[in-house]
Amino acid sequence: MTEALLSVRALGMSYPGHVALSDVSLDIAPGSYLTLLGPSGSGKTTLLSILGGFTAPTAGEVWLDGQDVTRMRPADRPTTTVFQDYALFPHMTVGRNVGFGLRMRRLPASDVAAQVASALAMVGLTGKADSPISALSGGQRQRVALARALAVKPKVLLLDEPLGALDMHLRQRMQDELWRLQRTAGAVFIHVTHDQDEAMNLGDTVVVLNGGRIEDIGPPQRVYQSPRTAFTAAFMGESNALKGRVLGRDGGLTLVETAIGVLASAAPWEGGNQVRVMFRPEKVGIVVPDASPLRLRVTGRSFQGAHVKIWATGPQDTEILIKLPDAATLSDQAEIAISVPPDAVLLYPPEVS
Amino acid sequence: MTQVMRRVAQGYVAIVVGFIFLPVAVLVLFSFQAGRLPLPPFNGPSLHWYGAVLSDRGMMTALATSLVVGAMASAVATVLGFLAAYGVARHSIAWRGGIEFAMLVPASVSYLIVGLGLSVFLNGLGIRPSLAAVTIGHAVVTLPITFSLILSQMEPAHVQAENAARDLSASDLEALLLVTVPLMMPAILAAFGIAFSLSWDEFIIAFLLTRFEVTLPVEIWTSLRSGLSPFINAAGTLIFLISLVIFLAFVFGLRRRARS
Repeated sequence: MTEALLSVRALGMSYPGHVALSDVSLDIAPGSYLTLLGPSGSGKTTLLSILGGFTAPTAGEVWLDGQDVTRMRPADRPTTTVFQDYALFPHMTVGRNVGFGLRMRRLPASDVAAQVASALAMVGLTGKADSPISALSGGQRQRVALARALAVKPKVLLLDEPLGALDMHLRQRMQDELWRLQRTAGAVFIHVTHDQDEAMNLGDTVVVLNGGRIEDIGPPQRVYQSPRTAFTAAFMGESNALKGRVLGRDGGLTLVETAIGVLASAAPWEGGNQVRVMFRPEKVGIVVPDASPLRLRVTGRSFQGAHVKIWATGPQDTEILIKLPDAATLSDQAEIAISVPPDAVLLYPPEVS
Repeated sequence: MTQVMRRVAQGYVAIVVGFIFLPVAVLVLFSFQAGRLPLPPFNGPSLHWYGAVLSDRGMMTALATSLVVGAMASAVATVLGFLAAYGVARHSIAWRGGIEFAMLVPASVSYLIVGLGLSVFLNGLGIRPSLAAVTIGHAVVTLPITFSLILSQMEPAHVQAENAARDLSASDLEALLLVTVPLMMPAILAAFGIAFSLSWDEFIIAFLLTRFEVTLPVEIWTSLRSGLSPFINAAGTLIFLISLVIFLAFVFGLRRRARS
């Protein structure tokens, strides 16, 4: 494994009466695109602010490139931040904004001009150097903020919900562009978002935060398909959750009794008798009635473009969400039989109520 | 009925406007009086008294003095007010409320008390009544206004812009001078303009803290003692005109900045 460029060790941040982060540890390899995902108040913005040097943590250390930077001022760190509201300097032209960091580093004017031009070219704003900020659209301002932060060639670029203010179409285009920029710039990108699609699309590593702790960390596919915690499973897209009772083991499978019937899970289970069973709606398959004892009645449908969402009810009014690529043959109130592959059935400790 | 109400409202507005501007209009009218008394009947127009004012050395010296005192006092009050507002806005300090209160209290103290206090205090320090003393006095009484005006215009967005500047390796001083001050410039100019106009026609403090070199309001008061004369009307009209020009310059200057 390559040595980590950025290493966060047992980081903690507490305010009087409130813990924003506790025991957060991360190792980030050079060239990574890391996305920090979590609901509001999960501590993701606090973590980014500590990495940028704007907030001093109350516990733990941050190491960057073999150097302890925990107490280093933002000005001295090889990190730059793209702020949520861009924080552009409205009294300067685009070119003056992008060249600000270079001028503060006392580069000769000719070098500043050349590097501003190349930074603007990188974000597709060639020729805009003399425009005032007020003449730019939201998407263009976003690009100026990126060019300004990348112009000083940081080792780590921190992005605080950078696409939050853009409309969906523009957001998708900017996602592709961010991904391409990260490859070009070669810097580590750490990107805070509350949008799981954005996190999975961009990150080669996704970190899920909740209540100031890391719930899960890993490649997006693994985090989505076999989340480590019930919180992650529920947060990363839609999920069906049922109370279950472990019946026993059969071969490599754990058999669990739920309100809709017995489900087999490939997840290893070492815990107690009571479990929470979760599976993704798109993992549910519809089978011929004789093939499965899991019987449901269709109660609602919703066309979503790429797929169809189906709500179905089982015994004890248990509602199950199903996503199918095509449901033309299913009518309302139809009786269906479903099956869920064992490796899609996830087991977690029961909810503490 | 609504027609009647409209007429009543319009009449009321006319009366209020007349009440405010009629004295000024009368003052201006009789500055063009040809005779020796600023009283009806009006037998002008004549520019005689304007010539007298503009060739009066005492008046012209006092005018220059007032401009210098106004500029110096407002500059001091604006710089100190900005720094105080910046400190209060950017730091979560204990006693913030107390500090703001202490900054604003001088605004509620009568100018007579401030003037007397400064007179006694400066005398104790061995500083004679002088233009420097008036400048200090005017800076003291305008500071609460510059402070509160600038503080009211400090925005959270400016904090983020400053953070961005520091993130890009600007020192604290560079962040302040290259980002915060330019962003705050409309408020800073407005504070300076208001402080200047207050200093420009302040009388009591200027009267108590000067002796030989005097500001324009004190000079006018001195010449009032030799009785009414269109000379004073002409001087007053000139002061009014200068105030108006300064006021309009600031208003239009701020509008243009706001638009760009």
